[in-house]
Amino acid sequence: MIQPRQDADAPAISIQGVTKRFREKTAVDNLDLTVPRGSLCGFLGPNGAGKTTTIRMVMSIFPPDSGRISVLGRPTAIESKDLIGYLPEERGVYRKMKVDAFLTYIGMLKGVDRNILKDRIGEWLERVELPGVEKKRCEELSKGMQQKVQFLATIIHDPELIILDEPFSGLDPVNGRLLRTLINDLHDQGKTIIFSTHVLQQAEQICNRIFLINNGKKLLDGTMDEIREQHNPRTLVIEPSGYQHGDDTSAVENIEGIASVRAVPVSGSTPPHMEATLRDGADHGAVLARVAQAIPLRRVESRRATLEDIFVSLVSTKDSEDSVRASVSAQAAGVEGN
Amino acid sequence: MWKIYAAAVREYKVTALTPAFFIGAVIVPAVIWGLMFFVGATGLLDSEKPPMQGRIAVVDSTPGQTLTADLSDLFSPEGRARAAEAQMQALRDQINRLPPEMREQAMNAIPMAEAMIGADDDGTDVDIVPIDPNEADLEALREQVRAGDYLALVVVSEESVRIPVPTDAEAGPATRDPNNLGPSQYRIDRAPSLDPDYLGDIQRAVHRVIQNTRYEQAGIDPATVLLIAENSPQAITTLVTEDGDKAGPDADLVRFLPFIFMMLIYASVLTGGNYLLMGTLEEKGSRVMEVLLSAVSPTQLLIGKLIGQGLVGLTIVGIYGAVGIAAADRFNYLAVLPSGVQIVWMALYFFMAYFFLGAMMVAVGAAVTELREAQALYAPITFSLIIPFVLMFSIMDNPGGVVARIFSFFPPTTPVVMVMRLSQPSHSVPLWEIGVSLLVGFAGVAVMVWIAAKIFRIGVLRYGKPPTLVGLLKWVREA
Repeated sequence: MIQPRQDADAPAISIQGVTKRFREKTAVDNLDLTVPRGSLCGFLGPNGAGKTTTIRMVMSIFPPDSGRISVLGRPTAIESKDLIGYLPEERGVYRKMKVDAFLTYIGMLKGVDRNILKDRIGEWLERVELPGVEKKRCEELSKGMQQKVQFLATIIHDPELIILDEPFSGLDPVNGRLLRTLINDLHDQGKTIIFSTHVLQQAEQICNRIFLINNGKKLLDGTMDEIREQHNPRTLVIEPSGYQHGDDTSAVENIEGIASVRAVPVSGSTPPHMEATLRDGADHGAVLARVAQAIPLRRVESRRATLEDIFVSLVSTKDSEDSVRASVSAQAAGVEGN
Repeated sequence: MWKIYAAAVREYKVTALTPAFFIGAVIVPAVIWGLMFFVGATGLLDSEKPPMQGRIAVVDSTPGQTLTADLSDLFSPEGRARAAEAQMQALRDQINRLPPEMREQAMNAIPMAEAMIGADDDGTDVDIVPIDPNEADLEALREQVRAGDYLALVVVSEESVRIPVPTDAEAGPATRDPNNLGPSQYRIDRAPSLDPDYLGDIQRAVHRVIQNTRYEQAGIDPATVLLIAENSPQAITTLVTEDGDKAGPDADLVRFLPFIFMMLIYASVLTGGNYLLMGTLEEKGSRVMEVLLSAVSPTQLLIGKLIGQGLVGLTIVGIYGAVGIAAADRFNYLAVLPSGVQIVWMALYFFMAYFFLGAMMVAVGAAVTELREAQALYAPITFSLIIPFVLMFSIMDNPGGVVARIFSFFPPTTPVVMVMRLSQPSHSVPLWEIGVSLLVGFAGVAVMVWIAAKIFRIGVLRYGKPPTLVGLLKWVREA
């Protein structure tokens, strides 16, 4: 049975000073996090950053070495398991079980009555564009279809808090979009949703709130707007009319307030252009106006800071910027390729 | 509780309510039993053999060569018919003297006996060829045996039939020299093509004629000897118990009752345990485990699985038990089966055995990623299964002895040993021993489930290199 909502004011998840070590490796290092109710959070970080470990601790699958975690106002997730929907990164189905039997079993484990589940499973299967597969064995479904069934197993008991660990991995673009719609719908119903990903662009598109961790430590925590505000863009994209790669860039370099200029060759559908970095303290708007005056332009814009830029700038103090950027991109490409 | 129940119900459903289980647990044993009955009833296997046909050379150097004549008579059609009829008559006489409640059952055996003894002609055609001992060339005869002209060559001498005297023991070891047979010895050289069963027939015939000759020498009528042999003393046993007298069937079968019950426990516990191991491996392998753990705690899942597969084991006990009782009823052995109270004890010991072994199986399943890695961790399981097996005869022969009692209070062996003791009709286990063994046994189960839960919790989300036994103990300490 789903218990009535308790401690409605408490945050969905509160993590205070949590540390987890596996032998000599520290997976999560003194982490503080608060997930407000009703938020749609992206939980970001490269592979091995500690995302899954954090989520498993939230789910009470294993305990933290130190620190405190509370979920939906209760000290452990065990007490609120039936209010949580969790899609693990390592997920699967019983291959020999029929789809409706599998979903019924998981639903019953979460305390939902069998009769309620019967109708609900049919409705949801329609909604994820899998009508009529109830009596098929899970092994007869394609991998993408199985992923949808797994997603349904996560939310079939109508949880308040939904935790999705890498939900997009392995989905084709069409199903990825479907999942995004479903996540937005659930968010609109007032559910608290957290999903982890190492593909920064996905989080950027969906989330209203972001946590970014690396090496078990928190690097970013806030709404997308707050984060963009904090990491104001210092780069202008300039494309003079008739510009060819290799043209002289000194006209731009000489404009007051510009520190350096980098020529970017044509890449895909993006035409060749220059990227100008602003001098410290230079006024963004004024420099933009001066550029417009100085040269005939096809395009000039201040570059929106992407999460990737922000992430790279945050971690690049230790590593060289290019290697970080390369690793982030490579991971993103690797996942999309799957 | 609800979650444990849901997990248990699923385990039972996916295991026991499947065609595969039905085939494995019901159809296959039924077919095997059916075949055995069919073969037994029709004598299918016996009738395959061609009858014995050919000549047997007999070199008989006894005075008057009476043995040759007697052998000829035994192998003649009339002689064989006479012998078969005598055997049947003896059987009928024996049945007629049985207590009335056993007689009806035994009468069923007569047609089968008739078919086996073969009173009607089965095509046997054996000629006894007497060879004059003074002119016999043994080497030439052996050559003929080798070539298949004779089925066998039998050499008997005066020494073969002489009435034994105490000094015969000093004659020294037997020789193969046919001209120099020792006391009570005779010689058979047989053709490679001669069926071992027919060699037995020839030997029995020779023995019979030798013994008859000796009886006559001693002045005893062989017919009297035959009567004495066929009417061995017959005990009418009755087991006098608190529940009243139980008509006593023969002791040999009762002796093996504990063995039957032990096998019943092994079969059901191992089946349930095996499903547990495979099921856990599947949940780990298909990565459905973490999905489950988002809904139930590892301990709840473990207990749910144990209960569900326990019911599967119970189903198997039920099926085989029902068949066993039906068979016991059919063959009039119902009375020796354990009484109601004993059955309750045995049920408790069944659960004890199952939970102990099942917990170990689940722990092993959770610790490894592939079935073959499980073999390395099997030692404790094998150990607890093999001890009662090794001690089986000691316990069956002396169910109240020191060995039986010691292993009654050693948790891994408690249930099987106790069931063996309880199912021995001649032995009654003191009530305090049942009480203490239940206490010790279930304490052992509790410890084993506790250990399994710890291993399970760590193991289920671990992939990669499997731990060693020592590593598992470390997990138990850490968790």
